[in-house]
Amino acid sequence: MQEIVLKSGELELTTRQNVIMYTTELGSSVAMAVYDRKSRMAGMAHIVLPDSSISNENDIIEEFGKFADTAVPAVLERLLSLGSKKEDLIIKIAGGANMYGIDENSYPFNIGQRNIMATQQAVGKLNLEIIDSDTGGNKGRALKLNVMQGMFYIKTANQSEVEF
Amino acid sequence: MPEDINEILNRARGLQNNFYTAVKVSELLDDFNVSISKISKVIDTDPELTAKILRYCNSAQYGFARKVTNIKDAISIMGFKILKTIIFTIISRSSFSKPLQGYGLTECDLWKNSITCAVYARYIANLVNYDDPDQAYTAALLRDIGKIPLDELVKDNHRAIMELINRENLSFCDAEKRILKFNHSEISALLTEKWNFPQVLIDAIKYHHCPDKAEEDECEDIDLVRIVHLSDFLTVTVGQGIGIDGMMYYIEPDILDNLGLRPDKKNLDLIISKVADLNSEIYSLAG
Repeated sequence: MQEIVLKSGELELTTRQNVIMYTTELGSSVAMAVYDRKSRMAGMAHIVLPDSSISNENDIIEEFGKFADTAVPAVLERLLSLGSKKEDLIIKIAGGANMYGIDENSYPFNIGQRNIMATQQAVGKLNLEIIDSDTGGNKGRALKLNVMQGMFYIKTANQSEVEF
Repeated sequence: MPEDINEILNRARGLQNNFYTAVKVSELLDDFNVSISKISKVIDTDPELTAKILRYCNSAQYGFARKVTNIKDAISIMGFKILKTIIFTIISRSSFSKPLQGYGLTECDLWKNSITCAVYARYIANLVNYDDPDQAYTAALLRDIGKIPLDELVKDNHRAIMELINRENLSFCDAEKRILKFNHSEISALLTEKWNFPQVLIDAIKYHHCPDKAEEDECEDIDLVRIVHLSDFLTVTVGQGIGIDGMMYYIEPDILDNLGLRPDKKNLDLIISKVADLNSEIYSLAG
């Protein structure tokens, strides 16, 4: 089984089935994982920030995976271009934790909240739906996708991984 | 329950031995009149450390034009300050790799978290034109060293700490203090105090979760405290080595303003973007 580890700002797509994809820990970052139940293709993005408009024009190609508004379409549109049907895509997101005392109105430190919203918006823009989310709160976690089984898992500190 | 503070510090005896040469060299390096040969003599007594220092000097990260083959050359090329951070980095790497079950840190998590915070702190220090970025690096690197001797106690009192956090919305370190009488920042500070570190560095370690208290206690170098505080926030934000305490800490609402940084969303996102770019350097250091 090949393991693909996604560090901050990385995205990955696979057409092979004997693959496990997982992110390194997510603090306020958000991971989006997608699995095509028919073709069994899969993708993942480890998003760090909501909006690519802060990126320098020269850097944007390298930084595609870092931002929700560029990473989400990069993964999902690629799958669609490879033949995936929208109704076959299972999309799940995790992460987006915040520091204590930070809520959706706590600008600018509500990075987790802003990442979740931007990811939801970017998915919605493609007329796709997020099936499941494990987001927010104050805990770090990691998201895993076993492509062979088509199963998603969440791992939090001091707990064994749970199906998600 | 709670043990005497000395009992906790005694648990760190192994740590103190590990850091012995680093502290000794650090003391010498703080003395401006010290000679290079005196320092190299102390380092040469530890062949493992010597080999590791030379490996660092010859790594791509430092990119010196010629190969460094002995400690004397290493010191004259790098200078005292960088040498000090390299030594602490080397010792931390070997001392911070064990899992800490109480804090929910698996193998190397504390090391990853510490080296990330250190590199970020040096970046922030440069960004705000702080005059000693290497001091910020060392403070951030060692800020959580107290988690090592405190781990068993946190493990034994895990449920009480978490219940208190949920009941009273306390930060993790405030809950630690209420249940254990000490929190990890205080233990980190006490350890570095034993090593005769400069007071400003001890303060930055002690108050890294609560710069407001540093202000109340009239600490000499609040900027250093705030640099470590912001770097700690950035480290958990990008998710490097997060344990059960996760993001259960407060961020000073005016931290950007207080450090002279533009306090808007765009600027904070730019800072996060820039520090995330440092992760490849960190992975090469983290090994």
